[in-house]
Amino acid sequence: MWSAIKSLTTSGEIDDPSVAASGSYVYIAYTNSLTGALKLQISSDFGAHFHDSGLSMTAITTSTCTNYCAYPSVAAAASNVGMAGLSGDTFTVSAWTSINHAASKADFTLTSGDAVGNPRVAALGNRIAFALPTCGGGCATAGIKAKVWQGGTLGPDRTAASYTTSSTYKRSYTADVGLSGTTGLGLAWNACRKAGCATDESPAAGSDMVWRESTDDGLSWKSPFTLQTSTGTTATGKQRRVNAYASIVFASATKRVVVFDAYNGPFNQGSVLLRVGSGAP
Amino acid sequence: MRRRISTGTTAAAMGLVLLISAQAAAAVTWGAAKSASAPHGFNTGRALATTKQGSTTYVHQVYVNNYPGAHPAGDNPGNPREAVMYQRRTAAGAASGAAVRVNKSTEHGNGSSVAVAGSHVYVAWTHLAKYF
Repeated sequence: MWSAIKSLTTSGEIDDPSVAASGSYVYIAYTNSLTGALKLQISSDFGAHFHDSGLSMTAITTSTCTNYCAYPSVAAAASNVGMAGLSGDTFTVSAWTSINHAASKADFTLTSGDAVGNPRVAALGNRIAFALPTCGGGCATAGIKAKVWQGGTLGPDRTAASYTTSSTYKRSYTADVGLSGTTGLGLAWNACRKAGCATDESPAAGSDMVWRESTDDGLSWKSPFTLQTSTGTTATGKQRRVNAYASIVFASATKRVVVFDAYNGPFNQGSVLLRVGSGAP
Repeated sequence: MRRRISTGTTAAAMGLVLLISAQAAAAVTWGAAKSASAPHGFNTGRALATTKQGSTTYVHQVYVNNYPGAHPAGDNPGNPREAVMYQRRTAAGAASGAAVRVNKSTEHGNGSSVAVAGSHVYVAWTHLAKYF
């Protein structure tokens, strides 16, 4: 049974909502497109009432959001909360974690000056994982980076993929992250075969969807797996030139589920694809 | 001599079988890609969550459909409004029940996101005053 719809804002221009929940707490992060602010509203009573947390990101202020600030992502487990967002002016991905239902926070910068896409956050137990595409030197070097916070301690950068202008893949602009067990970490991201992520019909090329996972929080990685290629030449394959915006969850220790958009042309004229992976990595 | 060769061959074959078996046990097997939305469905991430009810795991999915009822969404009176859809799935990805529209049929919705806690499922989206 669904409750009545609750409006959290009544004016302005809102974008990119991200919702997380743990126990009776509900967290909703979003962008105020008029001011550029990334906002977080919190409910402690299963969504019956919300209040503005007032929490901001040190590296993302209205002065660094004159172009835009966007893509907030929030995740929660137990009393742990993690949030990340992107400044379109400085290409800085800022993030924070909290161990007390976001009553306070610890800020840090995920990456400065080389972020090109949306950061994502996942939470499980006492861990919070962050993932994002990176792009340095005009994307001469690019890749996928992850970072895991555990029980108050922020781990080192973990690199799941590194790309150059001569590698098969050039860059990415969307990624998602999921957690499993006590050290399992899964990532899915779009991997562009052409600079600028352009699509091509001859030879066929676009943006593949790639999966990679780790059993030790990113210290080492299993081989990457292509969930969807963009080089298909069948009628169906041609409709999957762009594969992006993954969402992933671990349904169990041995079952991971991924959905992503697949299209060719306008993004809203494709469909969502789903793949399920079974087994121990 | 033949026995030795045969023995050696057998040992090598057994070793290979064991190696393959060990790799198969440790490998992740991916099922084929299948559609998880209506035509013209899309999302921008944040679209999955899981719950466990007894021994049954469910996957909760949201997406946006801008062709609800197989007609393009728009602002004209005859156009449907962009739909935010919720679909419950099994852990194997199969649909469990029908997809449900969670935003009002008289309003456009976009940017959907889903989260779960206990038996509660939360869906957030942006309400659009105009489609374009």
